[in-house]
Amino acid sequence: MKLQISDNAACSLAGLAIAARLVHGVVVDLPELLNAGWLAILLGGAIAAIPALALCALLKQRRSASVLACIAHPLRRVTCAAFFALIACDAAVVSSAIADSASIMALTDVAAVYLMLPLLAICLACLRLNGDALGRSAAIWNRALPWLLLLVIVLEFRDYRFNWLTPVLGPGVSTLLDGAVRAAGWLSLPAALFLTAVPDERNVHSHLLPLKALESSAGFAVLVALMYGMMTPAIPDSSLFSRSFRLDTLLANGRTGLSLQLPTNVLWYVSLLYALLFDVFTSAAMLQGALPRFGNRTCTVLALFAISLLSVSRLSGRAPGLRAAVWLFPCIGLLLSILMISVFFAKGARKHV
Amino acid sequence: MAEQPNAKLLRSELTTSLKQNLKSIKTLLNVPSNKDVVLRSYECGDISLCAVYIEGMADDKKISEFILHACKEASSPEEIPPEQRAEQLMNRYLEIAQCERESRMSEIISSVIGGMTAVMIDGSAEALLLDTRGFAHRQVDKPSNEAVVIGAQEGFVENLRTNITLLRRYVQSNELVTERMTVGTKIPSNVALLYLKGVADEKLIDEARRRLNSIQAASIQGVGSIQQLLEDQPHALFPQMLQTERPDRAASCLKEGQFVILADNSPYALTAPITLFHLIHASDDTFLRWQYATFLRLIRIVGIVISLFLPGLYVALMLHHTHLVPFTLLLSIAETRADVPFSILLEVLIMEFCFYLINEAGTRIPSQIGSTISIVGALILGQAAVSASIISPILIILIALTGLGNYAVPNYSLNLSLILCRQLLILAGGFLGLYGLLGGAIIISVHLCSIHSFGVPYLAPVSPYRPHNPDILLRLSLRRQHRLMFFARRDSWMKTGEEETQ
Repeated sequence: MKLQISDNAACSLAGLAIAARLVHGVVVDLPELLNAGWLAILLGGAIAAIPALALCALLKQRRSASVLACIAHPLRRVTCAAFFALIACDAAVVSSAIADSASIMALTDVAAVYLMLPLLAICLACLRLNGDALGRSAAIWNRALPWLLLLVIVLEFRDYRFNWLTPVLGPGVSTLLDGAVRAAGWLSLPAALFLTAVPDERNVHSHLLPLKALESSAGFAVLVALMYGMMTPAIPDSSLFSRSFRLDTLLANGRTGLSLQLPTNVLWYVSLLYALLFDVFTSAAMLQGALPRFGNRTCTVLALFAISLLSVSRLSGRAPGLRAAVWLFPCIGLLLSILMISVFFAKGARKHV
Repeated sequence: MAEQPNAKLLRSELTTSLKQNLKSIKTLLNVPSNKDVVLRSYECGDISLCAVYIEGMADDKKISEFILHACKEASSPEEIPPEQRAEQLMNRYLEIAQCERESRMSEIISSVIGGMTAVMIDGSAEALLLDTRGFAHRQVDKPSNEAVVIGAQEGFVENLRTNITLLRRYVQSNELVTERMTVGTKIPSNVALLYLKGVADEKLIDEARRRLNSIQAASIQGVGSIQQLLEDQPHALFPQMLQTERPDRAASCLKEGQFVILADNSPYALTAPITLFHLIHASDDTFLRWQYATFLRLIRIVGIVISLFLPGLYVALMLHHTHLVPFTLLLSIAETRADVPFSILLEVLIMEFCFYLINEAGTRIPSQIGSTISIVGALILGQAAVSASIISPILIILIALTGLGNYAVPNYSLNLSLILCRQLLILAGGFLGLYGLLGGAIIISVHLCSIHSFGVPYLAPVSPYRPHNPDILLRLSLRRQHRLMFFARRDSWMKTGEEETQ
């Protein structure tokens, strides 16, 4: 059996993973957004809705197989290879973020390479159980997460400073749009996963799940960005503070008392780990699409190897990661457009669908 | 493949010669070495008969009254053709309820071994198998491992027939089907597959039947062995079938569309398909009012979470995240640990080991000296270890809480699974802190989501979502529970009018 996932599982996994990715990207890596990260995410969500709708249209055309299975062989390989490259880069950033978080929280004396090893073990242990298990596990966490978040909100509500969210356009329109494009890129990442997803027979509207994933991930990220913004004052000169400092501030929950740091850390680690699992699974599935002769284990190991190499290189740093994020949305949009042309207008492809 | 001795003879059929048949029976039952095989010759009119049974397995009184006496009291029968002797004897002379004709040697031997009496008839190539089972067996008593406060106080016993009867009393429906079969290629054991026809999915029953028939083991040791041979994923950490010693629990499983397997000499029933939530629910959840049942269930779930995560969390926080612990608590713990020579991780592992050593010893120890365990466990290992500064007092409390949480789990197999998972989480938390603990928790969660029980996802109906009654984490009012279990037949006749209108 190939690496595969059902629509519902893909929606759960993508929703959680991209929410975590957005929070890391916007709150930690984009301090220039000041406390208007939530607005950038909203705008990014609106922009990302276009490829999401295109994806929904693509999903509506399939019958029992995934969209990629319905596409001609050479195009499928090229598309999968391109997606693999994009997702692997993102995975490297996420794994680097997890390693940084672990380093800040506790394992300060451990080298970055060794902090990657547990991630490899977690990914190998989880991916051998295939995509549905990952997605269903994410669905359970999605049910528990709101309660944990509610606990955090209720306990720190009195410390919220709503005025710290203003001025809303404080960072400037161009900076906001810049952030929005990056957010749109991250929000478009689930496209790769949905292209490999098989339809769920029980859900007649499964083709609309990409929109649902977009809504849930953007909604959750907006909420967290707002919470963070109301707990931490915006620093005008963002160059003063490194990624580690901002990560530390996030994990220390701003000015909140000690008691809430534990739930915040649990939320952060679990969400990021699911983000990594999403990235690794999707990249392994894309690699399998590009190299169909390789089995699940081989593709997983190769994908992990590539991601590990990228993680320990400078490419997973803040600056290269953000530069790549600008191109994420146009690249994914272009790939989806090519696929749409292939599915809707190519005569040969219609027979297979 | 090696064959049993006299395999060819075992596969043969009876002849018309009583002498020849008895010779074959003696060979197969190792007479005269086997001293408890009784061959009682007698006459019924002009017909020579021989009753074959095993002393202790068959009831002597039934044999005397309903076979020997009945035949002797019979008026001298007119000449019966040899080929009709078996039928005539069965219909006119023998006064026993269950009686059937059989010509296959293997069936006759296995029936005699099972406690039946075989009546060999001179001139007939058929024997009569009469139900004279009367071996000693345990009476129906309270279940020893699934106690409830309110509810039925009957438990399964080792006798298959009694167990089937118990279930029939709880499920008085003509649609309750009992399929009897044997499992074990060399030493077969009697097994029964029970289900409600029209409620259980036919494909599920076919799959259960197929798996039972494909068991290639030489013999089985009871339902525990059958469970391991039937499960979808034998290497998974969690059980995929439910073992219960309560007939009421098994009956409720039947009504929900599950099947039940009973085996001879096993005081447990095996039910499937199950989900993780079946293992967390207790029998008396249904007997109590919903408010109490919900409260107790929440206590149980909190207990499970505590037992799984508390030791790992303690180790992770104390070793790697002391800044997350409130200062006064941290100080208090540090003071109590000042003289302890071991690291926290080692201390926890030692205490976990001691707890389960006491647990295991308590299970195996003879009852006459059972009180020694409480003295050893509580005083020597607990108090003395703290006084000697080998462990800290806080750890005693922690391990006690963990143990209590563990024993709040109604199912013993799940209990053991949680113990294994807990050790992994302790190690993960000890080496990598919260990072490792949560990574381990995710691995366990994904593992749970990958398990299936006869095709049913283990965490359904939560994930994947399936419409269900409000009886998963909270046990809400019975008046709100109209739905069938999601794995039952859609057109089940158990569907109520309220569900159809929903």
